[in-house]
Amino acid sequence: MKRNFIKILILFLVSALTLTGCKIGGVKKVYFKAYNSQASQSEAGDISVENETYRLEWNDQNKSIIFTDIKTDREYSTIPAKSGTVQAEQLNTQLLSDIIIEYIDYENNLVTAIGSYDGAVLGGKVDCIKIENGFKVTYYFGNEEISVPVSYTLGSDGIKISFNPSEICENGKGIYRVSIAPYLCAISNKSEDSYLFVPSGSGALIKAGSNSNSNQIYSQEVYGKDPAVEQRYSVSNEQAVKLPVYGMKDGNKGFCAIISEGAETASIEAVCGADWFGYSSVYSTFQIRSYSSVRSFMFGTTSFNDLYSDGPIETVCSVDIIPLYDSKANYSGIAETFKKKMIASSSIKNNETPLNLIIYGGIMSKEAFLGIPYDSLCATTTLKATKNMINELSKKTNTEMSVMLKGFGSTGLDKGKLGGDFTVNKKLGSKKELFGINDFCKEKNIGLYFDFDLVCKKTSAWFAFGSSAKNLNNQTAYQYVYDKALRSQIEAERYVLASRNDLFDNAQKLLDKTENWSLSGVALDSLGNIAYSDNSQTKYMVKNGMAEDVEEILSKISKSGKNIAVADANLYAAKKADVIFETPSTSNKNDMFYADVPFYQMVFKGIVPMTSTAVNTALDEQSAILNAVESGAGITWALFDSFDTKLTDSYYAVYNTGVYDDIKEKIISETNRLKDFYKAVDGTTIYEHNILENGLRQTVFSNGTEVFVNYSDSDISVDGEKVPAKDFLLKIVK
Amino acid sequence: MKMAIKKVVKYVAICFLSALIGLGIVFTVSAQSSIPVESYTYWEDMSSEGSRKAVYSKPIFDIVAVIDSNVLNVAPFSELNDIFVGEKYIYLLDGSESRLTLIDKEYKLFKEYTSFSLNGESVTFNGASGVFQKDEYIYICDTENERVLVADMSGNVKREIQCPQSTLIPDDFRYRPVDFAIDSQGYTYILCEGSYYGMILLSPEQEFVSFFASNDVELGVQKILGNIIERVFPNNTKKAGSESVLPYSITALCVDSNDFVYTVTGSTEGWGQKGQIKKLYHGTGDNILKAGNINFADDGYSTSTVAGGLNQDLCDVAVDNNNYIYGLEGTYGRIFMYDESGTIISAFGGGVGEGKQVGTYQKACAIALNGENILVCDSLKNSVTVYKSNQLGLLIKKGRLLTLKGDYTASAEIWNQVLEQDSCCQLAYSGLARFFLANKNYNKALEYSKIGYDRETYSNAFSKIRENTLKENFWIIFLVSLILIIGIAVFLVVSTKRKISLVHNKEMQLVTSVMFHPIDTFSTIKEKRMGSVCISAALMLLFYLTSVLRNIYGGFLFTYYDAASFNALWEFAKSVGVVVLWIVANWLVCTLCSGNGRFREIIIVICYSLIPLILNSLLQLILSNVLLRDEAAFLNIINTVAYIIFFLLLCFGSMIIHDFSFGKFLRTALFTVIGMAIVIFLLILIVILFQQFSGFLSTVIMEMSMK
Repeated sequence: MKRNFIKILILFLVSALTLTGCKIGGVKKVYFKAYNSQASQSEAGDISVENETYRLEWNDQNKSIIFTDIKTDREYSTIPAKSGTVQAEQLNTQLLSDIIIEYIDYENNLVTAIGSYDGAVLGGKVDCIKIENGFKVTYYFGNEEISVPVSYTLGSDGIKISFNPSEICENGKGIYRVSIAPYLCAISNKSEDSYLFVPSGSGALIKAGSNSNSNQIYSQEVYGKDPAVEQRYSVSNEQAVKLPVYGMKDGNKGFCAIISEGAETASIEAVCGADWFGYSSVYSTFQIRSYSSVRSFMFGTTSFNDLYSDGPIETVCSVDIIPLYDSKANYSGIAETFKKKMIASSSIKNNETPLNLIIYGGIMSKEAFLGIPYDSLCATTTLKATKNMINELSKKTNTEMSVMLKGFGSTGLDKGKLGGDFTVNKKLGSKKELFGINDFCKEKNIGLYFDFDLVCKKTSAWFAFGSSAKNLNNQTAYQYVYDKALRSQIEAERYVLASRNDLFDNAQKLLDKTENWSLSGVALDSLGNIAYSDNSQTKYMVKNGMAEDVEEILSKISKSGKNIAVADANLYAAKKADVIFETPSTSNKNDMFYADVPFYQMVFKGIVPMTSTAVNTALDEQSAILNAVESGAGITWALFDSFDTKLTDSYYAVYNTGVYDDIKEKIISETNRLKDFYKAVDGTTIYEHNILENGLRQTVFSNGTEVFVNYSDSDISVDGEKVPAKDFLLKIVK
Repeated sequence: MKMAIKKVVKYVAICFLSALIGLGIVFTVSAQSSIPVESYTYWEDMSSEGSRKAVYSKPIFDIVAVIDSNVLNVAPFSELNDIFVGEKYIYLLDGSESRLTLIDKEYKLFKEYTSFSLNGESVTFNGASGVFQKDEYIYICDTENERVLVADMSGNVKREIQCPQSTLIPDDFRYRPVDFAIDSQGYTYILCEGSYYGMILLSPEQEFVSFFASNDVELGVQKILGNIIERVFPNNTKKAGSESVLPYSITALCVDSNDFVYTVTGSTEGWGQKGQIKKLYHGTGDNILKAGNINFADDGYSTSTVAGGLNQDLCDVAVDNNNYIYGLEGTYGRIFMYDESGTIISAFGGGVGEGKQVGTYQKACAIALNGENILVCDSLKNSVTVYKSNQLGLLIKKGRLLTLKGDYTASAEIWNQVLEQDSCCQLAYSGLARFFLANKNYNKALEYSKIGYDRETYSNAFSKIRENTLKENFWIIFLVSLILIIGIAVFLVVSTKRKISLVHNKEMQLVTSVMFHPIDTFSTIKEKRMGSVCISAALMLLFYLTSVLRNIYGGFLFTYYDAASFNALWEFAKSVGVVVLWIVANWLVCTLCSGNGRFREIIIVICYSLIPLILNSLLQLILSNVLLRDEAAFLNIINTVAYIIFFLLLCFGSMIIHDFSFGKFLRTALFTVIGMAIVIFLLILIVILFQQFSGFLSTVIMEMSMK
């Protein structure tokens, strides 16, 4: 018996040791079609297709696409200069590329980028064949043995550029990312009346030119960084890209580029070219293989390894590029075009509520019984106090309001059981009290939304294994809270993301558990703004399918008769919601940006009611209120009832400010002051937005009402009327 | 109507664009600003004396501009490595390109120098590291050329400051100036790269005076012992391998309006950094910063960034007219703001060397103050970020100044306003506590000082409350005390005479008598085989519980209980763990040393000996709630007495049960302590072995799962 046991043990150890000899990231089996440079043959010479509005040409000499507006005879090219006016030799070779690929060399696990000009035009070949309404160009990267077919087709409003990852062929090296038409939206660094637009946070403009001798790069993933990719430390906070759109303005022409398919896998990138480079551009890059930075433990030390998925995603990636002219060639035009194309079908919902509250229930804190520690909720606002707050503010402002209750579940704001265990923490009150508030709000026509976290949960490693999102090596993709000072991970505070497969079940659980709650509204903060991968299944890699899944879930909840609130939401959630809380008020503040614009609000104003970020938590309260006025979003206040020194342990900066008694007078006075403004812009969309003199901004609403907002410290005059410093001027058209 | 609006808009837009080009400066934060990294501060004295806890705070500075070559409309910089705010202009030094850019106080370009002129010849300063200006002269620390260039505002070099000639300057001294300052008396301070001698101090006549303010070498006990051993037992190998211990060199300096010299010392020890910023009296070089021995950066370092972690590295310092000190940390890109007493006001900035957003840094290298504005220079981003105090910042700065001056009444209103905007401001609670104390509202003072962990104010307020309570209730307290004392005395006399005992259980009688008749009690335990293991276990548990209770419910002035950081397991190990270790080790040692005591007896002796410590904990628990900090001596005396009794009981008990002499007891006790250390060492070894084995197993499982 003993001998057998020893034998088995030795066998196990030998097998294990043999297996440990395997290297992470060794040569892998390629799941793509095999590369074959003879696979297709180009049609001889230039090819051209056209419809009523546009003409699309293949310039066989330059191996570039030329796109012409027939009516105005305006011409665009994937090479950033008018066809025929600039010789290819005059430009940097990178600028001559229709696509840029990044591939993984499995021998050394390194990712390398190469443009189609260097890789295919010079080092391989480029084929072009005609297809319906356009043509398909295949770029054969000879040295890398990779071919990428890209379709260029004409539509009624522009051009669609797309590729299907399953058509890519390769041999030994795998494609990681593909940038399509990187210089179609390029502008000369010398061009003065021009800018690039990126939807970072609220939206931002980038001026051409550079302050350094090298190109500056901007890159942000659409719908935010993938949380399933472990972030070992947090450099800073990010204002994510919420809308899959970008564009540019160059004099009286511009582009609106909409990522119409595969948006979750895309990043919006911009290059602010150095003087020698000559151009600045914005484009989209699609990630078609999943990536994980995985931990391994060996003898007490942790190391990280880069892993890439074997197979590709199974989604077509495409960008619609729509030319804009004259008065529409600006970010207002981009917003209008995007709105028409992406959310035109959405009907106009309720109007903005001038007063919006986010009330925080509590956080978990450590308590000890005779030195034995246990976790307990530190109640910052009970339901009783909540009702008093709503009642008092409702009475004193006599205005429409919306209220979101956050952190009232079993573990407060902290991560715990899914959906806060679909209950109310006893320290905060009872369900009965919650229903009482709900009835009260219904009576007063106040929108009440109780927040449920359907994505994040804290659970032990064993329980997490079966129900959480995974890394590429099937480890749980843990999420971390970061140290306030050093910004490094706090292991004790780690939590997990629900398995993507489980999201539908989680939503059903929410409906089942709250069936008898008689809640009129639910808030789905995390579901609306977290897009993530789950590498346990190929269909969920690179955040793929998140938009579709969430839209389906929200539709289901909506059908059950509940109103839905989201916060800081991505496009797919925002357009399905009944109200969007905390719309982004600033961009990501990258060094390259020269101005923030309220693009997000320009898209949703008049379609989905929106609220600003909480003004009392903002760096400058007055500027935050002006920001809300500029974009027509309702004012939001973040509140809690009482301060406790335990809150100093909190990882939520919201607890720095917002004690109700301290700020209630301010809330009342500001709400009453802004009533007329909200009445004037009720039910309108934003027609136009302009950045005027330094610190002065103008928003024109669809009913002709204009608002001039002055962020500066001195008064500014507009048409003889004064816009006071740190204030606004409302011009109502009667 | 719409057409008209459009025309106006177009016109205004064109005007705006022209204005932008004409202005030459673009305020990056044109609409609502935000900083992509949270600001924080440190709450002090929460979990132990001198401890600090990072707490988010509302930002007190707003970014109003970012200045770079685009904004100034000049050629791109290569490496902006210093900034100095002079009387009229701000000086930006790009040392790698021998380039000095002058901008006015409104951040508009004034002039650029790429070289100076000396007797008609061009003088460049490639590799310069520092810039300074005073009285129409610009001073460039031309590091690579080992000189300080002194030029007038037209760029004509008037003189060069070379390495002074003095016998006091060692031969191996390398004169590579990196920072420079002149005080109001004309004394010149030159800081040289890597110099551990301190700064070169020149008289107004430019004669070498001395090296000024070198850092001290800090030697721990371990290092001193090591040095002694090496000197006592020297050999050639040891001599060859020996290192000279040198002080850390100063990395930057500045001089304030009162001629105090501020120096900053960069990366020192990983975890134990302290005293990096010094405020030096210009006469003696003494550090007069009251809290000079604190860590002026963050505690610890991030280990999840790179292997081995990132050390804190304070690289520059600036001081404003109100003596607020601003230290710049280069690795993480933080700005630490302190008041004149060394209390932290705020920490902000960030980027951990990768910052791509406004307000984050890749290599923050210099800090300067332009009035109320803080300027931070980044040598990789080649930009200068301009911070300005927001409303909250102005309030905190004003409130803190008033509090430090003792004008608590004026500061109270400000602190209330601060708390409305930031509930997590420890300084505000402390300031209000002092206001209430000054206004004799002691209960409020107690409340606020407790929230703000201001034990000094709490003690003062508590002293007044206790004094008032004693005054108002003197006769009641006196009478109750008198009755109690008389009652106890009478009870003791009567019970002794009539042999009355409250405890009838014989085992319990042993417990009560052990402190008064230890020899009899332990003899009884040994000879009559009395004493209870159950009671011993209960005493051990009681020992743990009273220790915990003392920590949790002890008076605020004497305890530092923080539920978030309180470690009950550690407390258990310190109390029960040590007792158990003693029992095991003592049994092992005494068995080898022919001790007669049995395992059971050892347990009973050590546990019964704990009684004075248990009583001590209870007394400390009660007295710490009524005594003041000044009266801590009483608690110390009680503590010492309790430990002496404990030791005596242990001594008597062990001698009796093992039948040892005192000398033998001491020897076995020493071996027991060594035995305890060995057991701990073995336990640690087992834990490490287990950790490594589990790590190996998890790696194997991971590899198998990936296969």
